[in-house]
Amino acid sequence: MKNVLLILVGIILLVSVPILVFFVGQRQELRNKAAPATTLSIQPNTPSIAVGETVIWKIIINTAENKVATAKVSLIFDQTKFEAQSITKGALAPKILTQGTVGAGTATITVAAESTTKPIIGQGEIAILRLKALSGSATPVAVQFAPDTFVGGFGETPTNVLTSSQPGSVTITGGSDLAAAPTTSAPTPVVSSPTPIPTTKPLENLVAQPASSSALTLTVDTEATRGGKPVIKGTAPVGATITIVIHATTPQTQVVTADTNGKWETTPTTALKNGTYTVVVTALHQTAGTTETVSSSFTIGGGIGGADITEATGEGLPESGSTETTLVLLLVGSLILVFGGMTFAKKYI
Amino acid sequence: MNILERDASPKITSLVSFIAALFFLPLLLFAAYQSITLITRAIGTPANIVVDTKAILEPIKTDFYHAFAQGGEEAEDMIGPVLSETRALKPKIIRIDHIYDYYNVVGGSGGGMSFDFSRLDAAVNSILATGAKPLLALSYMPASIAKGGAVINPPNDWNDWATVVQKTIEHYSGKGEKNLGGVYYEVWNEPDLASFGSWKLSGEKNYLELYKYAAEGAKRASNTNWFYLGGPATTGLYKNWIMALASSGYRADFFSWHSYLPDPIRYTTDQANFITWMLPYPWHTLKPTLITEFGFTGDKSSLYNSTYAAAYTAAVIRQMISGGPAYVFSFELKDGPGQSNGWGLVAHQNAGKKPKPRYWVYAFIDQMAGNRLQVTGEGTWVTGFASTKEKTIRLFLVNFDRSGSHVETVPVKFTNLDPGAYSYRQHYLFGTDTTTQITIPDTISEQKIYMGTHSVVIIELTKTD
Repeated sequence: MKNVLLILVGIILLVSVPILVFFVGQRQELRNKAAPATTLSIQPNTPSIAVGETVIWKIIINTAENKVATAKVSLIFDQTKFEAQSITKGALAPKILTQGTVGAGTATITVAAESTTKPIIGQGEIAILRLKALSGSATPVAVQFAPDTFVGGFGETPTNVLTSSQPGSVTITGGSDLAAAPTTSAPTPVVSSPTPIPTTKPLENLVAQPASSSALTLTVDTEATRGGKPVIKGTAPVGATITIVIHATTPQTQVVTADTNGKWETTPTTALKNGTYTVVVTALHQTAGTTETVSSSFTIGGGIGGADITEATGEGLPESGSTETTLVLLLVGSLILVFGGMTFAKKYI
Repeated sequence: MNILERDASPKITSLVSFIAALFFLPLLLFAAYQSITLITRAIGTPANIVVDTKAILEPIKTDFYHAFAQGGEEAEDMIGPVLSETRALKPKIIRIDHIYDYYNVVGGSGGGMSFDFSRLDAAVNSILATGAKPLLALSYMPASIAKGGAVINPPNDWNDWATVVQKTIEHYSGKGEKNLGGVYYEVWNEPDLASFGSWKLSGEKNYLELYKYAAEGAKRASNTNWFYLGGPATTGLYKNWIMALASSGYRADFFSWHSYLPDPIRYTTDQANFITWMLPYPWHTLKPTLITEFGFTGDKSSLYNSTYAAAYTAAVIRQMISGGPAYVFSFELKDGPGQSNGWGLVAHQNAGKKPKPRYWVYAFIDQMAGNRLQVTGEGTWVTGFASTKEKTIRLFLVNFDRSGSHVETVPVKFTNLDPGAYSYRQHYLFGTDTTTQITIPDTISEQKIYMGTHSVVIIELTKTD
């Protein structure tokens, strides 16, 4: 009888552990869904090309759990290294909303989903860029996302669901500029610092990389608002170039640099009228050459003094713990329960 | 010493000189302005076209420009008399306005309102007979419900306006009536224009109120097929009008505006601006945009009878060949009676229904169907795009110059070709059409293409071996 009860308790405990793990997994999944993080990355079709050849760059989106309606892909690169040929939509984006345009050091296209019932979901190409190599380089030359890149998601606030982007790079062989490394010219007036040279990473690494590993934060303080000018501030790696875009009827863009303490702060140049706004902040990390984006919504005119303070970080909603840690603790706890139960049963039953 | 200084006193001389200066100074300034304008227009970049025949982009749309608008030149069915000419244009959609003030649809008001769609039906039936679907601009206010009986005024009772819209939608989209699918209903026509009411976004003549009750009528319409309701159909793309409608919360299935712009590049800019404004509203970015009237000027002009209008239309279509609106409506299908400088694609039936140069552009560009190819080196005046379909590669070029005099010999290079025998065709709209057999020994073929004033050409390379 004792043995039967012992076995019964053991079976119950053994069955309950996987059930418990399953439900914890479900909970973890729900938590992940609550913090969707859409990312963009750029993948060249070759690690190196010769001067005069054309490199094809795939612009890859990973929507995570978001349902994406529209993506404005805005790219910048060193115009002394590349001549833009064309930019068009990729297979995952069935519509072009604004035709691809290329210029000196820039390429832009806005692509979209088929309809509200058929959003862009998953991972794949949303745009394809063709660049002709103009001069050689000893180190990889980057193509990166400009700060006005925007990914609009359905049912999300703020509507820009892009949390981070990764540049791509190739080495240009041949030509006469091989000794002129590192590249020093600025791709656009927006990014006025030396062109960063990121390490070339394989696509799987680029896409699977966490949304953020740094300290880019954003706080919109409407408490301090007097006359429609909230204080927009946050933190970022020291020296990072911060581009702030306030999406109003007339979007306002400002560029500041994170100070020696990693702090940055700005206010709109033009006072904002009463209403709800989205602010998108992009940090260009000077050493890594990567960009990171956070966004937030805020309201002007919520009362005297404006009491709405909204905060956001590059990691979306903060998560407590991780799946791995939770599972290990559950297993340890279950084993203690099983052995404890067996000991108890042996002693008292 | 001149005669004036010799025979007149110094005071008189000064006075005459002063008056002369007053008269001639504006003329001098005007002449200087015109000179600067001409010099500015003359400065630009010549084209140097390179087609990469292996760089395939997206499929080319050829539906969007098969859209036509007919203005209210006559208070009757205007399409019927030019039915065969219109059908040959292969229209996808045809827009008409003045549907309430020209066709006696509405009688009475309030509970005594009556509806007679028979005259409007004739116009809609003509549209359907061309193979197109109708876009009905819900305009203007029926006199029987309008304040003071003026058709550009608000109604005495907004509910009457809602009822008019409801009955119109039920008549054309109703499953038990005309049973048409996918009809576009556009709220008013050019509401910002004084001729059509000078509506604003607030006050007594508030377009948003007009729209709100139109949307209310659309909501009440029952047992209907899917239809589109939208606006604001303004004389241009105006941010405040678009944003006001987008943020109003009223049903808006499409956004529309008119474009009378001398520079074709502005169409690209407008589309980009619209999408930029809408980015914070992702669901709106997916809705159709319609330019429900377009042309190089909103005024009547004899240039609408010339190749200038044809080249302009071709240049605008090139600008919108990728990522443009759902439809761009050429204004207008037919001249009014007695017009010698009208907007029509064809002359009025009393003037022989003769097609004008612009009429032939649409079918000509249809030849470009296929997948778009990468083209670089477009210039200020000569622009174009390329396509590939089966064994044929095509390059479309148009020379449009606002001042009307530019000519250019354009270097054209096709790269990444498969070596071998080709049929080479050079087909000018309104010009020669020549075909020769050529051999391309390597991967590149180069030509020099003469682009005369307002010329349009398609170059074809078809592999024959």
